[in-house]
Amino acid sequence: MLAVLRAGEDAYGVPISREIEATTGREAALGSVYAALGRLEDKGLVTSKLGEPTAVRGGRAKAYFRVTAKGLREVRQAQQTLVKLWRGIPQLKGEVA
Amino acid sequence: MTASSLPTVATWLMKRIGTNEALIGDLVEEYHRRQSRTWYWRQTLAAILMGSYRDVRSNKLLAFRALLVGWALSWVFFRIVFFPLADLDEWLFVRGIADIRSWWPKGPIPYFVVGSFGCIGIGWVIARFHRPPMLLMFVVSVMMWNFSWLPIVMSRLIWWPYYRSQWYFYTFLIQGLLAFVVMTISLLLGGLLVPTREPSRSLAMP
Repeated sequence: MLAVLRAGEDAYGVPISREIEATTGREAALGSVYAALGRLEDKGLVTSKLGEPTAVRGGRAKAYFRVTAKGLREVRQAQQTLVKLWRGIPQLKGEVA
Repeated sequence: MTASSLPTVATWLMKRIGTNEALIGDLVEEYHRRQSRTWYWRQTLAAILMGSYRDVRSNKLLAFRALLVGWALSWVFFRIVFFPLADLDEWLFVRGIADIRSWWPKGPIPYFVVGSFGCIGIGWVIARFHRPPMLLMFVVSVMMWNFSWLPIVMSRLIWWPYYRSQWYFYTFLIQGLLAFVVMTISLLLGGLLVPTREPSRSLAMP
């Protein structure tokens, strides 16, 4: 969901997988990205919309993804949970988070 | 770079299995940038596997039915039809119907031919009445079943000198070859004989 948010208006498979690759340093298989996005769509956390077919894609349309309001709430909640967990760990004090 | 330089077999496979059209488009677009056939094939296999897994998970009942139908057909075929057909000359002769033993092929050929046609039929039925990933799942289950026999195969090979002169060993070898290679290829071939469905545009499909 973070990769979808970071890709912004142009959030379709290729930019999303590139975001994941740039952030994690690992190649993300597009099939895995679509499988994850499919699960998120089933849960109502993202929506998809088909664009216009283009020649460079062999006449196939792009599927654009957008995080829903429910998805945004889930992201914020996950962020707050992580921040809470991050705080108060003596071993990590003084280090840049 | 034109679409014709794409790995066409990989793209065709994805279409056959019903992979999402937008995903295929993304792979085509990215292939033009990367120019790596290995990358494209790796991504194709990942797309097929991930998509199939997702499709099976979201259609558990249909997947269960595909397994049930596949194994029931296999049981009927290999228990009842296979041997009378492969040994048709003996079957007809014993019943006094006809004597075709002089021209009926000897050795493993009838086993391979009859086994292949049977598996093509089973693969066709599963692919025709279920989704394509269900056939892949059935093939995986058949392979797992076959691999479960591996310890017995190994033990037979260890005792090779003992069985060398016996017909039993050759029969065993033929059955093993049939199970591991011919069965898998024929099942998939049967699936390919079913006309292609409309490609998926929904993420709910692989």
